[in-house]
Amino acid sequence: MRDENPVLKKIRSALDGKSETHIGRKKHRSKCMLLIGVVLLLLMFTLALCVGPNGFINPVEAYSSLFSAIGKSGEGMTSTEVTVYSSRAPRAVAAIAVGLGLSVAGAAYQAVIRNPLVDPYIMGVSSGAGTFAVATIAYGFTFFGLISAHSPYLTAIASIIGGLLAFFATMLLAQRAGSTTNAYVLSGVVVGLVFGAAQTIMIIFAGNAVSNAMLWLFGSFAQISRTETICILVPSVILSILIMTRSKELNLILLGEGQARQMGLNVKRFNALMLIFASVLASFCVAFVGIIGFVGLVIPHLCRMLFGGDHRIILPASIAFGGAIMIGADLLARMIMPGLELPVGAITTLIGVPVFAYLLFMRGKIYNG
Amino acid sequence: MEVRDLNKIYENGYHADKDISFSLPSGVLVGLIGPNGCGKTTMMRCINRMHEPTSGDILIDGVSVLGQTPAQIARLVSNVPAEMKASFGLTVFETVMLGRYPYLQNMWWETDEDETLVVETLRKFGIEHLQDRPLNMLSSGERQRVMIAKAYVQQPRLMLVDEPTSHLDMKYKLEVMEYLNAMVKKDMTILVAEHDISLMARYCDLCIIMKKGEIVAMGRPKDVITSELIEEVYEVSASVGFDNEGELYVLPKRFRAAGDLARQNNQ
Repeated sequence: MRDENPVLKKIRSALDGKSETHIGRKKHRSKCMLLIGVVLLLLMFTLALCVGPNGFINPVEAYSSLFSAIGKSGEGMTSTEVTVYSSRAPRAVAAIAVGLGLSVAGAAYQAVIRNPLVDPYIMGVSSGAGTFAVATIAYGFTFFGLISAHSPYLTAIASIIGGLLAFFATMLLAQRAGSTTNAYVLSGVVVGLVFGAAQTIMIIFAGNAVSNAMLWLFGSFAQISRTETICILVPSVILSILIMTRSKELNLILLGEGQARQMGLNVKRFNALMLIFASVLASFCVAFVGIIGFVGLVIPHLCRMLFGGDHRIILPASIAFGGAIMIGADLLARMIMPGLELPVGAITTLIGVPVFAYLLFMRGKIYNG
Repeated sequence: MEVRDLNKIYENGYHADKDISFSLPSGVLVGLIGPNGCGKTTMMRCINRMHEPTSGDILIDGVSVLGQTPAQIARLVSNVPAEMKASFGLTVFETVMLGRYPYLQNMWWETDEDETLVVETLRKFGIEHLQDRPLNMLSSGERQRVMIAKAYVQQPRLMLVDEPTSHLDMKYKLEVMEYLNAMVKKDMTILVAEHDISLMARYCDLCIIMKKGEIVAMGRPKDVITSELIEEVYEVSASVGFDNEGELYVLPKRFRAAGDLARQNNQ
């Protein structure tokens, strides 16, 4: 069996500990995962504080500068404190928030729709968000004057509205088409194509604003502020916890809607709730930093490979790995070419494509019915 | 368990089940037999409330299931589907453990009692060695056994099994029926919808024969299954006899005239 990769087997057996019961082993795996996750996130966060185009700051100095700047409430900071407190820390926290949010949203989509290839992009959410963002960046679209043209959050609000609009269009189409797994995927693809086409037409006629629009579409943490970081972090954490509290139901739904309903779950309500949570989560994630592909698809699969199929472990693991990998991708985007910052979306795609191909070729059988 | 004047009319006007009434004692294996589209699956779906009956009532231990919550019904009735959908890498153990979902009080983990029950069930069903394998990597027969084990740990009063042997070869068919037979106990009745009449006659204590949404016969297989009944229900001629061990078998006859005529025309 291909799943029995000896390396993965060794990792799982180390994570399982020596308990004689399944529940005991799962609890041990869960604790190990939490430990690994916290250590990984701390390491990556520290790395993000220490490394950057402005030079290396040693970890002790980085943390002392961070705490000292917090103590001063950001007033009268030294240059190191400015670098750590105003630039690197918000960026790292935003990367964690976006990484965990997209990963949890992806895991929830995949379970509810029972399709391993679903992510916020396939569901049309990213395309909807992108289209509305381009409309505000390139054309100054203000929702007919409802939002001030000078609001710093105009693009973010527009992309949240666009993402949710695309999601509801996908839901409507899918429900009309019988609410099957294929109906959701195909509806998402159709809605994504429609928004994608609108986006392309707008970009062609965008004139000088095209570069700003393209920068947003490729995704970047470069311009992120502390307030924006909080705007991503709070909904990301709250919605991820809300999804995590339904982990057992996410396991149950994997048996199919009929079985889940027969086991006492109100499937219609549960699916709608999870899809709304995941879509709002994904919309908030892309709103401030632009479209970042493959994270929502690849991280949940990576966690399934390492920790098994139980969402009580996969979701916390997705939070840790999603956050850590996103910081890593942002670091690469900043450091790979000195003097030039690459779009983080391109980096996650470059990392994601080989992983995706691996999943498709090696693990496809596991996900077939 | 009792079904009283059950009717199910679909939105398109199709009357799938017509005034169905019967009662079953506890601790029996019951075969539900009839041609495709005769209302077997609809009736089972009404019993576990997957479908809302148009009229009538279903009682378990004298209590109507119609007024109960889905979670309460899940503790009374379990269901083994004819086909299992993708499981996304859940292992056999995890799948069987999901049978305890209607009883879970704990927010995160199952209890040691749940684990003991699942381990004993896996052992009883001879699938202990498969417990860490992903469900999707199993054969149809093994997967069917896992789903029956999952329905068993649900500890229902009534287990509904829909065409459990439809994809299986002869050996697995017998194996599945042996498991179902071994599972019947004093406080649990099993209702199996199945097309293989000989297999049903061999294992079931009672059988219910349906045609066009109505029950046409009910009783011990040896008493009710006759060639006349088969002809009436399936509109085919069949030999009904007993083998050397006294087991009933049904052997359908060819549509000789029509088949031969078609072959002559082809030649």
